[in-house]
Amino acid sequence: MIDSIITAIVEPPDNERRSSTRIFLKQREANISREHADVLIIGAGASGAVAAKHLAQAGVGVVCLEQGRKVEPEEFYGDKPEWEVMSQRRWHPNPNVRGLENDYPIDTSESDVNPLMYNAVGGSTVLYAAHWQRFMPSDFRVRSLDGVADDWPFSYEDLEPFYDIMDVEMGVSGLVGDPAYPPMTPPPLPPMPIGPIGKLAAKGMNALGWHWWPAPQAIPSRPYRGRGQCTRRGSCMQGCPEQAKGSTDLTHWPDAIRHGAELITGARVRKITTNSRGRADGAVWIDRDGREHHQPARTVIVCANGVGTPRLLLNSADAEHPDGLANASGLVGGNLMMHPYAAVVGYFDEPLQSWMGPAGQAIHSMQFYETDESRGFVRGAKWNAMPTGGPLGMRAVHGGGPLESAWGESFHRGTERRLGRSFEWGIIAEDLPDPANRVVLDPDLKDSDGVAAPKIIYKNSENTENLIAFHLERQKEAMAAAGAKDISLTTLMRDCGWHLMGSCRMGTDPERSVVDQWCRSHDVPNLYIMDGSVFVTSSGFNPTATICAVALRAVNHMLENRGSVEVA
Amino acid sequence: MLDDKERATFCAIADYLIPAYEDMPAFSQADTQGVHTDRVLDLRPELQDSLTAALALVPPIDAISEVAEHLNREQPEIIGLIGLVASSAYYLNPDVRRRLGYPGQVQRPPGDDEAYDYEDLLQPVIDRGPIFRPV
Repeated sequence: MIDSIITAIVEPPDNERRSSTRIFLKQREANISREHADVLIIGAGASGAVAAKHLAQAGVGVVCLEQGRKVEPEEFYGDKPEWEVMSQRRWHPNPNVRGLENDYPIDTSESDVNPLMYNAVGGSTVLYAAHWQRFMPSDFRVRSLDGVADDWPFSYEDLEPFYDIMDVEMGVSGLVGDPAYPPMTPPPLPPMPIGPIGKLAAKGMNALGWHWWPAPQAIPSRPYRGRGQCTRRGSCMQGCPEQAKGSTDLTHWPDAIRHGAELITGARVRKITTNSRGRADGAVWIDRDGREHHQPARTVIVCANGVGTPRLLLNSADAEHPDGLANASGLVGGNLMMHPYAAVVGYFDEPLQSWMGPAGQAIHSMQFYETDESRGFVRGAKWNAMPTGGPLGMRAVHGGGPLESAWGESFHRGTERRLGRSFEWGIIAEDLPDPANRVVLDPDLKDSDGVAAPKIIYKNSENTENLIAFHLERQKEAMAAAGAKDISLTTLMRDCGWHLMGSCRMGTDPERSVVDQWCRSHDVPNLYIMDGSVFVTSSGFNPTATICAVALRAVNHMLENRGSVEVA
Repeated sequence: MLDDKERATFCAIADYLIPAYEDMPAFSQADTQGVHTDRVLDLRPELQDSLTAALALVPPIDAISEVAEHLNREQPEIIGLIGLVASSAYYLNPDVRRRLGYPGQVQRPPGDDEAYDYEDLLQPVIDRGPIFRPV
């Protein structure tokens, strides 16, 4: 029976890929399909996978609907010469660029930043850089400490045990003892080498007396739980052909399936349904042949990311919920945070092999993480020192400038200057929640199934702009101290919205939040949201570790209270 | 794929954008048979129609520099598209990569000697002590 279940997540060949029911039927043949799910999870990405594994492991009947499919390692191009060619379209993180059927279009005409994601089993972890960062204790007390935004309804200490579990499940590599954090449990694997760029960046930071530390990553520095050691191809952000990077299609879904979770791919959810008691009782989904189905459930968990989740709740409006489901507060979609990203690239004389992976970060710094109001803004940012990739780089963006600035001899000189002799200091800028930054339904735009698509309205605040300007100046100093012969600045990268947070915020007051501290809707007591949507603030860190830890904490609470959990 | 006339136009502009320079070949020297261009268009078929349409808008080429500068002023998207396809194809050439010293995204499993070879660099950070903000 286990073989049948595992087979069920293997995709049919290309000519059969439109059928999502085939997978469904295989599982029915295995006699494990659940007509009525105990828990329906919508979205098979980071948090959906964590919830599915832990619920199924505890004997809960789980069905998960995922609009994408399982991606196989041979589909990635990181081990092929055409890697950069494919990174500009098929494996681009912007769904509007990819334009795949499993993506949905997003209107970004009123946004400073493009939201990025991947829709598949494993979600955006398939393409993320695997920075595995915990939030700081101070991140949960922003209102108390800095008088802005709100405090979270729980503390770092409340979340810490779940960070520890996630480190083990993801296979995190890192070095214990980072003085930027309180003492913590060591990660299960030693750190990845920091390499030539990490050492050079570190020398610059040491010259200035500034903090740095080998970066924690969900990338195995040693073989780990059936995954190979990272081979440093450096193609993490276009999918890992080695199947080493900790993406949840590898770290969690096989276990979830083995424990009986049913995963239906190619299943685009159109709306969550409710019964006469106001409880969520399932979801309507559309298969790849355009047929509608209804999956009944006793409990529904939405894990569709900070854009997809509010989109689905708004699309679930009906006569009883005219403004969308779980939206009595009017905050579904509001307070979107996306971490505007800026960077300084330094160019050096010495060869640095700066195409070598991991692609995410060699070292990080929290020197300017905390608030110092003399700088003219509150909050701060994490820095990450990153490689700069292959020769093609950013050639695609040229257009309209003087020809000689990018082409002719400049074409060759630019490549010679950058390729293998540069690295990037990037800034994960903490943007504060603002109700005006939001996800709404676009009145005209639809996905390939005719479901209303989201529109993003997002503008950087003055605080964010001041924060980025300050950090860029400090990074220029760090590059000079490292011996850079030249630098270039990116003051705001438009394609940077990997971190989708805040659009269904959690809190204790139902008038000022969408879910409680256990990720349960204030309005619909058997509806949960367990993705970055629930974040109260964004921190200055890559959020996936916290998304997973928050989801695991909520699932743990559900299981501890399973006798009294509200159901449809 | 491009027909002969389109390919000739494409190569003429691509050579202007990517000329020979020091040890590096010009575009058409690096893609003499058009294999790499064809590979790019095969992998990114959505570029094919745009490129064909763009090449049809290129005026007859007498002085390539004038044509390229004119296009860059009046229709920069055409130069951008030709440049994208040309540079993508150029860097697929193994000899070009060799001359650049770029091996591609090859496997380099970390050795044990690399695991923690920066202890001396890290010591000052440790010596400065905790920097996290108490709450």
